[in-house]
Amino acid sequence: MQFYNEIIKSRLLLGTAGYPSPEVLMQSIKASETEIITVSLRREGVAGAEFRQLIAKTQRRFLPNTAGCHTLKEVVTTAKMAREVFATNWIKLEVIGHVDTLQPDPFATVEAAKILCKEGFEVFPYTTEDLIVGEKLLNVGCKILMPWGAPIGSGQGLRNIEGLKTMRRYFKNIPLIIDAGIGAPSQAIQAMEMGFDAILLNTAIAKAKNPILMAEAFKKAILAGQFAFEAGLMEKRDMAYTSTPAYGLADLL
Amino acid sequence: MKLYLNGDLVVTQEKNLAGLLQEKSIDATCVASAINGNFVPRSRYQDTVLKENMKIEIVSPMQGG
Repeated sequence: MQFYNEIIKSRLLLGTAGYPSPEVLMQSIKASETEIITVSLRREGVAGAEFRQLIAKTQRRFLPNTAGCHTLKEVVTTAKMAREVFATNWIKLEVIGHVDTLQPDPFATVEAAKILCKEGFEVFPYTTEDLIVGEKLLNVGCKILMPWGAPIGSGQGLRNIEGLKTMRRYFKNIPLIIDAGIGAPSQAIQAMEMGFDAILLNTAIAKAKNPILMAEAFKKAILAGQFAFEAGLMEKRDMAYTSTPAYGLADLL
Repeated sequence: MKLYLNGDLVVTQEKNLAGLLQEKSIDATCVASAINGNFVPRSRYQDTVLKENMKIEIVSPMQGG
């Protein structure tokens, strides 16, 4: 799998927020075997130095986000600051349309992606399953799309399965990452079985009773879903169909 | 001179952004800055002159989803 020019093996991208302790975060990253962790930028304060040291130890790729941004100016400035601090052109583009629903603003997202792609960023846009928005994001230079499964932090799984299936089929050769809304490993399996390329998670692991064990559960689920998709699922039938051959059945009457 | 640093009103005698960071014991290699909402690259800290009421934001890596 390739994200821009980077070959990526792990299909799990992991958020770093909301863990019970820095140690649990570190252990969860390790257990998940993720190669990419998402991070943010916030005002420099007392906790800054500790977190800097912590993430340096992870030896993972950083995917900085623009979380909390509502306007184009905020997004572009945040992305430029992130590029300097994290020394990466990758940016997880989130332009939030409403503070309660955390739904992406598709119009501002396309506008921001256009500016950022021109500025040399490699944009990972948080979007919906809308095909036209997806087309426009690709047209302005994105090479990846990140449709939501459900609203951020809701844990509802895939809210629009048919719409997501259509999106997968329509953008056949574009890496599609389910970003947001995944609450259980079974939901991650379902997305991977549908042919999505990867899952971006945070709350489902961070807020589990045992985040480290949940990280392992998601790692295995995502791998199972990926294998299942590659292996090819059987067709569903309306009626039962015997699997044991009838030929050679002994006459015992 | 009075200006705003990460939302707080501060008074400084420093003339440029590099001096302000030094005064506040902030390691310039670990942070990024914006003035009045516009990004200021590290290479420009020395020649970025401070002005009255400027809104300076200094950010660093934090947890994120």
